[in-house]
Amino acid sequence: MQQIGKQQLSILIIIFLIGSTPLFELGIKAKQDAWIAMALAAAAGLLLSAMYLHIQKRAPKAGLAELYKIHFGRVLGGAAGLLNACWFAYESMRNVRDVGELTTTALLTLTPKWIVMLLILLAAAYTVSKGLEVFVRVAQIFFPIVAVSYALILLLLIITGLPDLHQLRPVLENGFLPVLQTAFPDLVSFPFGQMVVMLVFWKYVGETNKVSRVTYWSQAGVSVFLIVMNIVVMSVLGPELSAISALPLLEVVQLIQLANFMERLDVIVTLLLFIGLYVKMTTLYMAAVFTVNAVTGTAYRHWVMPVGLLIYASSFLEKNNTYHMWIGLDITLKVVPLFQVALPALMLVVGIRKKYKAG
Amino acid sequence: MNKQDAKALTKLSPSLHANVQAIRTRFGGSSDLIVRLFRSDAAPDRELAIAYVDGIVNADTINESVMEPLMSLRLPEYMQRRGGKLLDALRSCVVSVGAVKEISTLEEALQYMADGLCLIMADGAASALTAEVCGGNQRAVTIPQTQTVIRGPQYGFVEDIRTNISLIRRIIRSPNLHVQIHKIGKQTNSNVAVLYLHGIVDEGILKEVYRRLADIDIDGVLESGYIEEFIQDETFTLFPTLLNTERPDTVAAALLEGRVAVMVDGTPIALMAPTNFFTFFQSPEDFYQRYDIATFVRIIRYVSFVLSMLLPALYIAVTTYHQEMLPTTLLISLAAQREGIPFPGLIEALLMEMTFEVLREAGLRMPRAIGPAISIVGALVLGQSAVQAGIVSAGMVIVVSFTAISNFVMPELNMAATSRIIRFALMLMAGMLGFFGIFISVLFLIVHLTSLRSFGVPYMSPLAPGPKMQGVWRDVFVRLPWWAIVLRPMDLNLRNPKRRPSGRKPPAQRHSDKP
Amino acid sequence: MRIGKLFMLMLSILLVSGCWNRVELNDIGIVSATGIDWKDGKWQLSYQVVIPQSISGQSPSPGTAAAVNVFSTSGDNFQSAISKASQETSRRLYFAHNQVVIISQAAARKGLEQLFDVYLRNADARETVSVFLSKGSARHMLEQLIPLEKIPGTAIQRMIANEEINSSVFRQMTMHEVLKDLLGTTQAAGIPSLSVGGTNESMDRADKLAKTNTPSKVRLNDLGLIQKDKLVGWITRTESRGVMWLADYIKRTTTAFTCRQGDNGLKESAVQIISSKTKQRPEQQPGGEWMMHVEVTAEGTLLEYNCGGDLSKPPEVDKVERAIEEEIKREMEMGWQAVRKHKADVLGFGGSIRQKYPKAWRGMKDDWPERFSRMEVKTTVHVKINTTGMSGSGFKKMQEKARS
Repeated sequence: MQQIGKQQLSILIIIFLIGSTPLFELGIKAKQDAWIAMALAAAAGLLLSAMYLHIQKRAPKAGLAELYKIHFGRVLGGAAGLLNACWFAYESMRNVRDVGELTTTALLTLTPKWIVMLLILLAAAYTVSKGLEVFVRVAQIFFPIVAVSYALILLLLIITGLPDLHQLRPVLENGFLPVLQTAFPDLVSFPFGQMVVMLVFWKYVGETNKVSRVTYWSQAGVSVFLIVMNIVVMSVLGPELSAISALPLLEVVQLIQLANFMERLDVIVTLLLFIGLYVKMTTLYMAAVFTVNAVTGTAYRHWVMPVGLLIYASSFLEKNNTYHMWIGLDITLKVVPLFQVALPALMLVVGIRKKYKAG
Repeated sequence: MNKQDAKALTKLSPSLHANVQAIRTRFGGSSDLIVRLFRSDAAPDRELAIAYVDGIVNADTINESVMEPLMSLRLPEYMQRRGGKLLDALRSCVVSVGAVKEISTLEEALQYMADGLCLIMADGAASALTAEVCGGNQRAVTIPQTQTVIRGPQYGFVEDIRTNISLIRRIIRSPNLHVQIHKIGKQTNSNVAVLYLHGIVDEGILKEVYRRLADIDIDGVLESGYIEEFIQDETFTLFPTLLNTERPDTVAAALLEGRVAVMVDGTPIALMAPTNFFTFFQSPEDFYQRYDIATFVRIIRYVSFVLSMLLPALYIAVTTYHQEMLPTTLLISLAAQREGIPFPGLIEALLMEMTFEVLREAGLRMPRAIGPAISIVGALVLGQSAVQAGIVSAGMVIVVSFTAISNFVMPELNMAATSRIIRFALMLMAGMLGFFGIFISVLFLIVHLTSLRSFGVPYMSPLAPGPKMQGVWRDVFVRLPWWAIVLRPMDLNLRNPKRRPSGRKPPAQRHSDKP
Repeated sequence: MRIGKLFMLMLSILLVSGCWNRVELNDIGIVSATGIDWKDGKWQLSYQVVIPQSISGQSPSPGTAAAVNVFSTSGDNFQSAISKASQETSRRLYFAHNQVVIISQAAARKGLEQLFDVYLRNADARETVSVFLSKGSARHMLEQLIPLEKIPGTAIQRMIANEEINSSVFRQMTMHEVLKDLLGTTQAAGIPSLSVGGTNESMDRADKLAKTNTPSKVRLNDLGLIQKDKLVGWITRTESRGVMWLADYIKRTTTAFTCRQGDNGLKESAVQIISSKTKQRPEQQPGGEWMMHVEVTAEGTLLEYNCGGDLSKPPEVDKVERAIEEEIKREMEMGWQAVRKHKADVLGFGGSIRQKYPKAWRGMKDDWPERFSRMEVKTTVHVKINTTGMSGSGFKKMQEKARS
């Protein structure tokens, strides 16, 4: 059985949650109050994590599929597990597609998408075939790169004096409602609600009693970081420009010009983008494979290629970027709460009832 | 030896002549087989014989310590003392060589003779004695050819394994230094020695080394590279998973860190395992010179390793895909250089890199005397003429030369070779997909690196997975002052992870001027 | 290993199918400046393309030929004009290193919506490019060679950077700043303009730079006011500095002043402002109109002093400070009057009100230009002289002393 340490869990959570999030100005629907929406969603995300952890605590050595089986029985639980695996694969596919879209809009405008997506998915498949231990090690190697890059960007922004906190005012210009509407369900389900994927991986952590602590602290830390990045982007671009640019952080970094030397740092952002999307895609891909594997009981390695092919094939279903964004923002958001909130909540209730009956 | 035991063994016959005949037959009448039959005055009824292979024994030792005592032997007294056993008497009282052993089979006898021992036989005894009289011509211990240091011991291993082990013994003067010799190679019967420090090494890893060595079935072992390919964890990798060195101090340092060393007779290159990626960036000199300078140099090494892999690829990616990344002035001067160059950037780069690789290989194989000539031609071909003829741009020449130079910074040649191969793959990917291609390739590399293991130890430890013990990773990028290196650097389950008690160095005595 | 084999297969496919985005350095024409004209009902785009050989490289004598080549294409929209460029040049135009965009007056009055869309949509159009207006044709501006610099586009870019840091009459308006202002609260921006000064002779030949003086040169001139996406008017250099004071864009500048009270004649002394901070405080008047309190705090060094006072005495220094304050107030007043006339809020007044009184702002944002022009401005200035230079009193004073 593979095993990961608490430090590795922490890094996995941090990198997974950061993902590509800081590159986009999430919650822009709330204009200059996006950060408040982020903060609300982050708090809600912590609550969700508390729920997931509570479920996990009942059976510390069970993964998501096993938990479903414990709570809903073999057949229903298995079905829920498969459904959930499909959702993981779908979310993974969205990241694959993101790589395709962003690379072809920002980096290689004339290169066909299929090759870009195929390559990144191959890298993900290679990682998945090597297993969780290798993947968290890869995340560990990326962690310092990501940390240093963001620190550098923040530092340079502060030195160049681009952020202008006036852009954040007036606070709550249109009242509290738009902020709430942005935070729920959009921001909760992405990125914070995606923590549900950790139900697949928590069981591999060696120090079972440390899981909750590590998760809370990592998630809280990431939340603070994401809010800071949100504020920074907003204060540089202002609500209007952030709303219309496809990659606000790229825009921000392009503005850095220091001493005729520290400029054109786009490459750092591009790197961060790829790392973030890769980690996210691989985590979800791996979660899908793990879950299918646990439900069906067949060998793990047999499922790497089929799931990968499924992800690759489905990434072509959306015909262009507009569709991609539309499906992501409108359709997906209606389905996601099923996996992030409804099913775990049901498990929670079932578990409490069982306990009550047993007691 | 174990394998020979398994086969049917021929016992030595009591008849001396039969034995001599058997030995002669088995050696196929080789002319360097010397068998001498003689009688001693003291025991005229018993015929004696010594047999050895000429050239691999020390003739002086045979004359002084074997022949002379045997010829002038006072047998009856000794025989009485030893209860009438002739060979016993010879062993304990007559032959004045250090290591003497009694054997009873023909195969053993032949093996020892091939190893350079002298065989002493007596008529009427169904066994024989072997005497260690190894010798013959050997290269003297000299300065290491490949891994040179400025500060530090200036001697390297030689081809003789006995000398090599003795060099280690002279550094680690402790009975805890254990040496186990295995015979590997059905024909060559090479001595393969496993060295480790008892009480520090991890028993599991040691067992694993023994197990893998025992599995080797090959006709001959000429160099430690044979062994390396048999015992490494993964065959399909560009990265070396065993360290090699020709420096006794490096081996001693590795042993002190809890690693196992494998030495092969006939080569000055010793292997060390387990290892990780970062050990390949440590030169022995790091630990001899001041820690701050060593740290600086070590970081330079990492940077140049990365550059030697990535620089041409980055150059291709930037000049053919991402021109917007360059400062305007630089872009314009690069563009000016490229005017009139017939090839695309990728082809230009491949051409130059190939030229360099050819020059490098030629320089290596060339007879010593022509070496300087080739470097002049190389410099001219690579540098001036190619640029003046408008075949390659000056920028490319700079990139290729810098890449070539930075490759030589690596203290371990096999890691340097790895980076050269990867460089080509990266160049191709960069030529096809720009930065995205580089990113994907590096991603594959990182996943591959983290999935590698060396004798069960993750290759990228202690970076990933992180250290189990606090502070171990610091030897990766920073060489701490010696008093601060408390723990052994490996992320192993060492029996004895502490090198020294923790705590600061003893404070320097402050001399005050006042009385 | 199956994956490995598949990967190798992929690699070979890639090799065969080629490289989509690849473009060699000798296949691109690096554009250093772009000009935008509106001519005969079409957009006319002019490109200043760098000729690398004549700047550096192995050509026999760099410097004898002009380092840039200017040509134009026209079309109904920007991209179709750009795509026509391939009918006139052997190389693909490469805009990522474009330093300067010059927009002619006619084009700016027509409206710049299309230009902004190009910049927002395309990855290779960088928003760090500086934007300028020109009263004449933009193409004419691109044709001018500028002494000391090889590439005129770079020269203009450095000129504005220098101006912003050392004199602050104009501020460098990058495309990003322009977009931010025009999309921001008040949807107005001020963009500096370029003109050819001196004689009207065009500096479009490299051999004209062989002489020690040039008959004409490119210089920064008036500030153009853009409202929504159209040019609405010009204000002069002096007024522009008033705007800079009001909007807190002064970094370092030299202000001339006189110490004679109420005299509008020669300003014989000068102070270098080394730091300045402007605060805007909106206040609603009883009548519903708004009043803006503008408070400037500045520090400076005395550069030139030709009044009679003895600067070793604190009261004299105070007097000088008052004189400078008066001067800055006057400049601000001039700037305010000029901007108010064009109803273009480039001063950030709307933003200040919105930040402080978001509710009130919502009620009046639709007729803001009108309300803006009816506003009142009250200025207060605090100047502190840090040092009076190396000598205490002026030369004139010393001479007087010596005579007596």
